[in-house]
Amino acid sequence: MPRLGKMERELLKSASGKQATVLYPFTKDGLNIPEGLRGRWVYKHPDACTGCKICEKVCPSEAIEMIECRAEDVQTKTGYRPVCHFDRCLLCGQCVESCPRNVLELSETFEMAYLSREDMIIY
Amino acid sequence: MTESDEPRIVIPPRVTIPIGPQHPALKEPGMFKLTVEGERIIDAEVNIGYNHRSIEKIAEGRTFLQVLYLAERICGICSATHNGTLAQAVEAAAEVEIPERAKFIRTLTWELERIHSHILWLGVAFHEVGFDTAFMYSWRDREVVMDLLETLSGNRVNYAMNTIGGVRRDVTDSLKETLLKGLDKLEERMKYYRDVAIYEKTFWNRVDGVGVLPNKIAKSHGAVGPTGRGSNVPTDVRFNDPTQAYVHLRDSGEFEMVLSDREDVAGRAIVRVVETIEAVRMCRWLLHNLPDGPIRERVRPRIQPNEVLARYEAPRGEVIHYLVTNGSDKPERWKVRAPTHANWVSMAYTLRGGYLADAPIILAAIDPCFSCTDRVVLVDAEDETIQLKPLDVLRAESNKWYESRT
Repeated sequence: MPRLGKMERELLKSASGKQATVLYPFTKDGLNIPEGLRGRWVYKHPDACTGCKICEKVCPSEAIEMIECRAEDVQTKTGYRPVCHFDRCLLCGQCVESCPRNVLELSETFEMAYLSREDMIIY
Repeated sequence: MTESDEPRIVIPPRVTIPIGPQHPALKEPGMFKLTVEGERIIDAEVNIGYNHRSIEKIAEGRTFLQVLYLAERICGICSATHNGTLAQAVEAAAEVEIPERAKFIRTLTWELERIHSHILWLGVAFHEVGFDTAFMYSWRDREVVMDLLETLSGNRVNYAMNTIGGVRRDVTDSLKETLLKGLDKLEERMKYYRDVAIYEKTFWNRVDGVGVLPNKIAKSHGAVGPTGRGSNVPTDVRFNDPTQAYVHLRDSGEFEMVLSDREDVAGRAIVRVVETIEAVRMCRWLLHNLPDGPIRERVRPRIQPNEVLARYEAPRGEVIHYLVTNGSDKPERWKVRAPTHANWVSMAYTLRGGYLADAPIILAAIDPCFSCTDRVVLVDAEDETIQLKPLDVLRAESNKWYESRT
């Protein structure tokens, strides 16, 4: 009689077990998105922003650009505000860490595919 | 005497098979020229340098803080390795001591990374020998450690845990519980995979006695990491020249360097599997003995002129970062020697004398990054026809060849 392989019991156990993969686009159950995930860049507290340009200076991939505040924006002290060219962003979170007034945040949004580069500029 | 009476010497055709640069079994483009006689590899030549990304030069135009994130992208699997070793180099150049808690968390990330890298290797090794069941099961369980790393750092691959002067995220009590729970599961699973690797014939018969690297050659060819330790060369920076929390780990006396005197691919596999279990134990020790205190020290952005060499035992072997600072906030020169680079030479040796069908697993045994879209060119010596073969075709043929032998 041929000997059973080492994994035989494991295979039988798994046959009746739960599926390991998640049917992702159809369901998000079981994705286990952890707290503190570094996801999509957000200009969260524009009121606190002074337009100091530190985030632009520390960004390793030159993803953050300081533009002059538009009419619909909250006017900052220096008249500048950050925008993120998300196609260049590394999601390192250095801007969030360096910001002296906690203006920026990397949210827990992880779906970050867009159809064009223009869509990826986050205001 | 006529010519026909002389014994005829038949020389089997020599075929040179170029594998790579775009490419064989590796994600990093390398070029292997295998000269074969029949099925035997009689010579192997390794050429590298096809993937020049100019990372070291780019780094000279960036601040130290920005270079950290660049260093992380040298390798996707060893991201914490390069990130942490560079941080270590800059801290040494700035002559600052980082807080104890930061050292422990940095080491914890490194060890978790080692667990995930070794399980990844084990899965790839199972896959290369045609044992896909174990490949899928081991990668399913690798998700446990990937989730732990994601919870700890906020990203699955590029952890960005280290900063100059410490670490960026703290380990809270609830996170500690999650990590300990995950580590228990990992230890149980890894003990099972250790038994699978040793007692399952499907795997063992393909790696036993394959790709022999004698101890003497491993030493003279400068093999590092599990490749060296699988040939009984005691080379492990964590024990020979410990930094960070490895000093405490070594002094605790609970951990030992994992060595094997088998000298073949099986030896390297055993070293990696046992080391994973050791790494799980190390993580648990680090979490239980985590000191209180701050997690980062403020370091001024301008670093005084200095020349430093930082070493760390990456999952694949010793990694070296050489850094020259010039008093500005940018490096003057930064040089990285990754472990795979040190192992190329000894790999060329291990290929010689083996079967062509064993080439994928021997190439895999030093743990270079594997690609899924690689090609192998087979040149027929007689009519000089060239066939392009994807790796999976080559692998299927290898497995078929082994089946027909028995």
